[in-house]
Amino acid sequence: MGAALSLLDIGLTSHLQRQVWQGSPVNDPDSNIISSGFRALDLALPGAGWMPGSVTELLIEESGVGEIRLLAHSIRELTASKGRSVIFVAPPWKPNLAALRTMNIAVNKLVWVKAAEDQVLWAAEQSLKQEGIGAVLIWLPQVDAKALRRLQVAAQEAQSLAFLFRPLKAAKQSSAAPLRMVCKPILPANAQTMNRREWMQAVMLEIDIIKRRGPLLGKPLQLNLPLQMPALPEHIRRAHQARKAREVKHVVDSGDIAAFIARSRQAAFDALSAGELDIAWSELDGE
Amino acid sequence: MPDLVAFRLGVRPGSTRSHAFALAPQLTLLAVDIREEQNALEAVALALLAFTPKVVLAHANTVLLEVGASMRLFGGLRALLSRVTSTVKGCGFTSRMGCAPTAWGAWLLAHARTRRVARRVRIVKETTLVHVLDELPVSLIPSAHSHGNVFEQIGCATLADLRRLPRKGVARRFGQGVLQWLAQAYGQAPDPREAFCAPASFEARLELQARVESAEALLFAARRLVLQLAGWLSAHHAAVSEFSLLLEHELAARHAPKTSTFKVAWAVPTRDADHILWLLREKLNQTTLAAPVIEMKLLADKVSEYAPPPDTLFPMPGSDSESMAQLLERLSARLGAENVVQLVARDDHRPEAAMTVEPYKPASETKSKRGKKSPKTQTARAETEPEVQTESNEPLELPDLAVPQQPRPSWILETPQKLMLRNERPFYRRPLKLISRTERIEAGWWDGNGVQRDYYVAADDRGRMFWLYRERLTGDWFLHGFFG
Repeated sequence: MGAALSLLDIGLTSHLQRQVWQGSPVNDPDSNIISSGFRALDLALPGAGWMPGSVTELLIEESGVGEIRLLAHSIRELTASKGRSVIFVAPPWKPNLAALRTMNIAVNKLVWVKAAEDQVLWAAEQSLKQEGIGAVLIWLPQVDAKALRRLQVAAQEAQSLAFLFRPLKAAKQSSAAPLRMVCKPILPANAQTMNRREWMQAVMLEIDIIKRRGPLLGKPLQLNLPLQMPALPEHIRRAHQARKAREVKHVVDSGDIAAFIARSRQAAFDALSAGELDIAWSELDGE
Repeated sequence: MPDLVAFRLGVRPGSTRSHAFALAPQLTLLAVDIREEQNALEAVALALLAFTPKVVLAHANTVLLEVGASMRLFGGLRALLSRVTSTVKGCGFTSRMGCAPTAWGAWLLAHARTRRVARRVRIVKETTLVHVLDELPVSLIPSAHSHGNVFEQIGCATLADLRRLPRKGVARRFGQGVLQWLAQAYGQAPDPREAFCAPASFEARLELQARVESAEALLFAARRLVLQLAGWLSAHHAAVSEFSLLLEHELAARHAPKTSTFKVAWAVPTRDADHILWLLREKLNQTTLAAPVIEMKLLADKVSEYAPPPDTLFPMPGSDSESMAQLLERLSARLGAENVVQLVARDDHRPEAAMTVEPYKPASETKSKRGKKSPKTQTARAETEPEVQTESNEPLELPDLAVPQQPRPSWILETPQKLMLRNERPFYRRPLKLISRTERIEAGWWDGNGVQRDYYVAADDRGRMFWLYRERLTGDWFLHGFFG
C-alpha cells in the first residue's frame, strides 16, 4: 500500500499533491519548500522551511524588529540562486538597497509596490496569482477575516511564499493563515556588560509560533540575527578561521583585545572551576 | 433580413414589401447601407485574422476562414469555433456558423443555419459532407435568385435532385456556372480564393449607437476595436506597445472640446487582447469624460516585431518573464507607474542618495545597464575595501559590491525624524543606547545638499535596533532607519 501511494505521488501534479493530505505534514520534504536558514526554526516549521501555498503571518509590534533579517536567507535563495522575483507590497518605510545588498540579495529581482491601504489586498492577490514569483511580502495593518481568507485562497494556488506582517494585537483575532508567529526582539542575556560591537552580532529575536499544522511548540524559539552579515561566504570564512587559529597573530585589533580579555576572564573562571584550563584556551584560540 | 419576432410572424427574406406589411403591420423597414455593411464585414475579418491568415470575404455577408492549419494551435475544432463565436460577438455582431471541408460547403451550411433548414452544420469528413449537402434546399444556391423559382417548378427541391439531372441539360438551362459551383461545393473542383489583406497601418473607427457617458460603457465599446487590433497584429506578426484612443464628443457646450485623446503605453509589446483591455480599463477608470462620446477611433502608435514566446518542453516556474512583466504592468496601470518601482544603486556615500527608485523596466534592459555599471563599482571597491583582501592564493568569488563597514538598516526613513534628548541621551519612545562606533559621513558639498553626520547604531531597552545620526554642526539627533 505504501509503495502504491508513493507511486501515486510521482504521477500527481504539485497542485494535486498539495490537495492530498499526506499524513505527516510536519516533516514532509517538498522540493518547493524554502529553508529559513535557521536550523532551529526549520525544525519547528511544518515541512522544514517556508512552505508555498499558505500565508505565513508574522505578528510584530512594529516593523524594524528583525523581520527582514529573519527572511533574508529565503529571499537570497529565491532571488540570487533561483532567479525569482520578490515583491514587497506596501512596506511601511523605504527598503534600503545597501542593507539588502549586504545580505547578498539580488536587488534587481525586488519589486517595491507602494499601494494605498485599500489597494494592498488587490495588489497582493494579483501578485500571488502570478506564476514565477518567489515571495510576496505584504504589510497590512488592518485586515478583516474575510479578506484574510481570500488571501489564503489566493496563496493556496500560488507557487510563491506569502508573508503577511500584522501588528501584535492581531494575535488574539482568529485568522485563516495556517502558520502564525509572534516575533519580538529580546535583549541578549548579558546586555549590560557586553561589548557593544558584540551586541550588534548578538541581536536576538524571539519567535513564538502560535499556530501551525502539527502540535504546538513547547517554548518560543530564540534566533540570533546579527545586524551585519559576514561579507565572506560561509565555507571560506570557516577555512579562514581555522587557518587563523593555527597561525601566530601579529596584528591585533583593539576591539578584539577588549573582547578577548572579557571573554578570557569569564572563561578562565569557568575553566578553573572545571579544571579544564588548557582545553578552554585552545577553544578560545579557535574562535 | 427579418429579426426573430418578424420571423415568427411569417416574414421571410425575399418576401415583398406589401406581403411583409400584411403579415406584420408594425414592421420597421431599414434600408441597407452597402458601405457600412462592407465596413462591418471588414472589421470582423480583421478581428478574425487572429485565428488564421486566410480570411476571405465571400458572397452575401459571409466571412470564410480556412482553419485547417490552426486547429491544433487553438486546441481542437470545438474550442476554435467557440473562440471565433465569442470574437464575433465581442465585435458586436451575431453570427451563424457552418463548418465543412470545402469553402462553398461551409458557406452553404452557414446560410442553411441562417434560414433554419439544416440540422447539422459542423462537418469534418468529406463523406458526410455529401450526405448533408444533398439534403439542402436548392434555393440556397447563390445564383438561384436570378432563375426565380424554376428549380421548384422542374421538381428539383434539394441539391441531390439537382445533381441527379443530366449535366448537359442543367448547363443549357442554368449556365455552366451552376455545375462548376456544385463541383466546388462537393470538393470535386479546386476553389481558389483571394484572401483578405490587412491594411498596412491600423486605424479602426466605431460609431457608437448612443451617447456614452460612463467610462465603463466606453470600455465595452472599445472591446470591439481592441479585438480588431489583436487580429491585425497577428496578421502582421507584430505587437503593440502604445496606442491612442480618440474620442469624439457630442457638442454639448460651445467651449467643450470636440475630441479628446487617450494614450496608453506600456513597456513590453503585447498582442494579447485581454491584456490590452486590462490596461485600457485602468486608464479609463482614472479619467472622467469631458462630454458624452459619440464616436471613437483606435490608432496603433508603436508597433514592433513580435517575438514568439520561447517554448520549452518542460515549462519552469520563473522562466516566464513575459507574464511577470504583464503583472507589473497591471499593477502600475492601477496604482500608477511611480508606485511600482525597483531600487537602483548609485555611487554616493549619503544614504539618501545612494539609491534611487525607478519605475519597473523589463529585465533585459536593466541587465545590460548593470553590466556596464559593474566594472566601475568593482574598481571602486578594490580601492576602498582592504577588508576583503584574503591571504589565500586561489581566486575567490567576492560579492561584487562595496560592503560598508558598519551595518546598514533595512528600512530607511524618507525624511529623518528629529529626536528629543533626555538625560543627554536620544530618546525615541524609549531611551536609546548607542552601541556602535562613530561612522562619519560627510559628503555632497558639491551639489548643495551637503551632509555632515555621525552615524550610530542604537538599541532601546527592548532590543529593537535603530540607526541614528547627529548633525555635526547643530548637534541635533535624528532617526534615519530601522534594522528590520
